[in-house]
Amino acid sequence: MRTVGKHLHVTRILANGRVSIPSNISVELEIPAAGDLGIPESERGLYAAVSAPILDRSLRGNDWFIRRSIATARYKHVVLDLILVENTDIQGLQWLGDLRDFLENRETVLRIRALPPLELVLKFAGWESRSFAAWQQV
Amino acid sequence: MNYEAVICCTPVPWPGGQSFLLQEVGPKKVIEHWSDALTEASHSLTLCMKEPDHALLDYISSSFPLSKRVSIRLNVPSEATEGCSYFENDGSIKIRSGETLQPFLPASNPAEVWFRVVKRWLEELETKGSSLPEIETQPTPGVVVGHHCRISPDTQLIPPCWIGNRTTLRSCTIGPFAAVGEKSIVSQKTRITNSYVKSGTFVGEGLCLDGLVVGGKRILEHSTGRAAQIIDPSMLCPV
Repeated sequence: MRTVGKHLHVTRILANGRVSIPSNISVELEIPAAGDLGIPESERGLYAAVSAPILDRSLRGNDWFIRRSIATARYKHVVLDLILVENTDIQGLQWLGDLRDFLENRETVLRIRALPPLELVLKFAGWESRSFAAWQQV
Repeated sequence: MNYEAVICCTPVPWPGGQSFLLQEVGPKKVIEHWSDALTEASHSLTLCMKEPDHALLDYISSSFPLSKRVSIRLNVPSEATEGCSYFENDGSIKIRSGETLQPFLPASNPAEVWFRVVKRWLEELETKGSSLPEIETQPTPGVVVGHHCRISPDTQLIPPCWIGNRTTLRSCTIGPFAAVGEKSIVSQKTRITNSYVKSGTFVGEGLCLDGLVVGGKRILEHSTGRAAQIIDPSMLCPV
């Protein structure tokens, strides 16, 4: 797993497994398998986890790795794991919205997982939320 | 006839942290709404508290009009009572003659019951009009607006909806089934449906309130009772 910036951790989706965040090995995250997400074998998926407790301006500029990977390695699926994020401010929402727009323009599917309180805040900000817990596609 | 109701003070995660009976239903509180329903039928209400709810006691003793016949006892009677009153799951108020007392709220999520009370009240506004025609206007059937409101011309008000006194609405969409409490501000491009904005709340720009209760810095999904805090005052904060 590669850490980009301070709070963004990325890896390629292959088989499912548990990984630790390099900066804090006590925190383990479960990466879903490509098959579980319905990603065909011919397509590639990228897993990204945010380890900051608050989604805020500190994430701006840290998603260059995701953007570059989408552009060069042609990932068709991005899974954004916000399970460690407790809340967000307006700049965090803007970052998330910009990322979604970028991925939409590249015809890349974005899936998000978030805790119920964050999911509620995202819903309040106008994000469609049928079930984030099950790797909601947005 | 006097109807008794058993009140328990289980805390609920409301924005503002008050008890169920002190929640807003438009210009009134739930307790006023309840007592009005009984007074209309020439009944009185006695609240039997398992433990004292000081905020409710203060509210009733200091600000409750004498015309509303509500009394309080600080225990649950063991002897037979004339009748019992309580809220149903659908938000309706039931009165039942008989001996057995039951809790005033169903065991399900209180936020859901409260919003159903609000919905019923909004439906009544649509059919019967405002109960305070001296201070509220009704530009179209089912849309009730309080006094000293500032509403931009491109704001959409979809019935049934209620706008409290001294509220500011800027290019937003309110309704159906929405209420904005007194002295609140709703910013542009925000949509409020099936939701309640509590009095004195600022709601930021471009937000989507659907199935939510917002107030102070908290949001609550009334169908599930899930709550969250909003940390950014440009999205939500007290006025």
